[in-house]
Amino acid sequence: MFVYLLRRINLLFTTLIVISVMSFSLGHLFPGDPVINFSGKPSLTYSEYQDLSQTLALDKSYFEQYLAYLKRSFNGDFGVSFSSQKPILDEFLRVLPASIELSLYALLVTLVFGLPLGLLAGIKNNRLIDRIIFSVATILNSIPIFWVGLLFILIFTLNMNWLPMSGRLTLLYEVPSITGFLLVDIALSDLANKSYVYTDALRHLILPTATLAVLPATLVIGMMRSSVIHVMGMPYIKAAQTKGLTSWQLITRHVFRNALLPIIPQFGLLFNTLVTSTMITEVIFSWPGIGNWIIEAIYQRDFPAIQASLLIVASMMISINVLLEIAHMMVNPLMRKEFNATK
Amino acid sequence: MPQNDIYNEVEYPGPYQQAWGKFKQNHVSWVCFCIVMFFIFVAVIGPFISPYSPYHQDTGYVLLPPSWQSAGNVHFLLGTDDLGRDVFSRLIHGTSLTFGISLLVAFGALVIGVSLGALAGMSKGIRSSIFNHLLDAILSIPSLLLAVVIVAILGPGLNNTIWAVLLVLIPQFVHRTQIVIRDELKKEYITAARLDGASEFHILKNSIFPNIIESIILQYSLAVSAAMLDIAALGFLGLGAQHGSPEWGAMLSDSIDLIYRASWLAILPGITMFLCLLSVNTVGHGLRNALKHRSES
Repeated sequence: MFVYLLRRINLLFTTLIVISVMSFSLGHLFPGDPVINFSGKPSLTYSEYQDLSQTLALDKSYFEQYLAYLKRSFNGDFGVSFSSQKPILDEFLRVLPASIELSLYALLVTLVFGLPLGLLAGIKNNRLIDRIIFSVATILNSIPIFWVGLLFILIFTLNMNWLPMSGRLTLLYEVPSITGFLLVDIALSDLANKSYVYTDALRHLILPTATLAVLPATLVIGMMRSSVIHVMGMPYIKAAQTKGLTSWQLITRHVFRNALLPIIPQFGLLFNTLVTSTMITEVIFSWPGIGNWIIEAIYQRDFPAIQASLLIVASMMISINVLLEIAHMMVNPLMRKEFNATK
Repeated sequence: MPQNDIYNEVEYPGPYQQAWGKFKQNHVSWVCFCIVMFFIFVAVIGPFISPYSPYHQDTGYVLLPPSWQSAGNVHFLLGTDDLGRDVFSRLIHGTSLTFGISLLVAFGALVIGVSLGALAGMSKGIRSSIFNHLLDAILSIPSLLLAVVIVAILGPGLNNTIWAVLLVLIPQFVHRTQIVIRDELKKEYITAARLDGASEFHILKNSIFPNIIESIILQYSLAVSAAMLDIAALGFLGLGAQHGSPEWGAMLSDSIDLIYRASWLAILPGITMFLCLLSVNTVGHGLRNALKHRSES
């Protein structure tokens, strides 16, 4: 187990180093002067330029430049944004909660719908209900996410006039940003009519969450279904059936747990789709999150922001993936056995 | 297998034929295969047979609804957009842009990725471990983010999108090829070939490659749909094909401003793209099933 952890952490570190090298080289690859790209200050006098070049170690060899870049990144200094001239880390932390909030709810919806439906489809394998669930999941899996967003807007906002189209909250309400998570902020704030604000915030959440949840939910249904089918063919299910367990007992005690275990490492793929979809969803619904911020940065050719976001988002993804794998190892005894046997 | 008919020569289907027969037995996959073939046909021939040029502006017929609506005109089958351009012609040209380019890009990534993957799969020790770490790093970045970053370096535009999508797809092919080659190398017939004194290249070409080509085709179908999604997504975000281009994603993003007045501009490209993606995915799925179950008669 210890050796396994060591290997995973080794993998994590090497991958992080590769990512940081890529992110560092972006500063040189982007058009324009590296000093300006790394610092984010577009108009410099000659002496300022010299000073910055010294402090960023850009007058030294590439290797020393890279070390200096690593040091700055660890201290959270990613330079300032071209467009707003504010530190990038502050900007990033300002938009991060909105994205996390949206993805968290989408993930919740995904699991609440995906796992039971996948379980049902797997248990009733090759019956009508399985065919229906699986075909619908396959069809939904092929719908491009930006079209789903447009369709939702077209149907629920423009034709039915049920739900708002963009943003997190009607401009009528002003909620002071404390944590950045809107629903928490509303609870913390001292607004008079909180219930109205809550309904408004939730109404704004429905469409983006639904748009974002479509693709991951179909993935979860597919993964869960094939895993359940695999488990249902196992001898211990037969043994449990012979023992006379009701199907409810069988499902809760044996099928669900054993089917859930092997798909845990595949959740990394889920996060990957979630991040990609979040970027597009945020643009469609003008959600003030990271995706919107990155796209905005590209429109404005804000190189320090692009560079920092690649580094931070990719590092987050890698850490999540490795953590999932370690968690899988801890909860799944079969994996441990395999590892101990092969060493 | 005992045969009653001892006089005629009996033909046993080879593994490819078996898989193909199994694939054709599934009606849904077969229909989707025909749709994919139709889209390929449109992508190749379409630009020559489209009724109008995708950029031709007919100022007399602006925002005409599709011809089945009472306000429509049969000369513009699927209506026109805000500049009087024929939506039908634009969709046809968009097929060769979005779908045709995806096919080509995925094929380019296949050639490069499989050769790199073969190199990585056959090598051992420190070289392969360095390569693996590099691959893990690249694969852990969400593909759209990577494409966005590459576009940021090269600048927006359809040509640069193609490079970005190509670079994003290559690692996936490398990864897949490497895994299947590793799996094959463990099998006994490879050991047998090695004992016969076959060189590494010989083993790769004659023993491994015929056995992994199916997984690579499978990966190709996945890559085509991923490439389509990425090209269209970048076009939609305004980073790929520019506004006014008949690329499907760019058409969708152009339609947002008019979505209330002219909903067909948002619905038609979406349906086309959805149909195309669905059939490509279903063909991939059918192929996987056919390969899995081909030995069962």
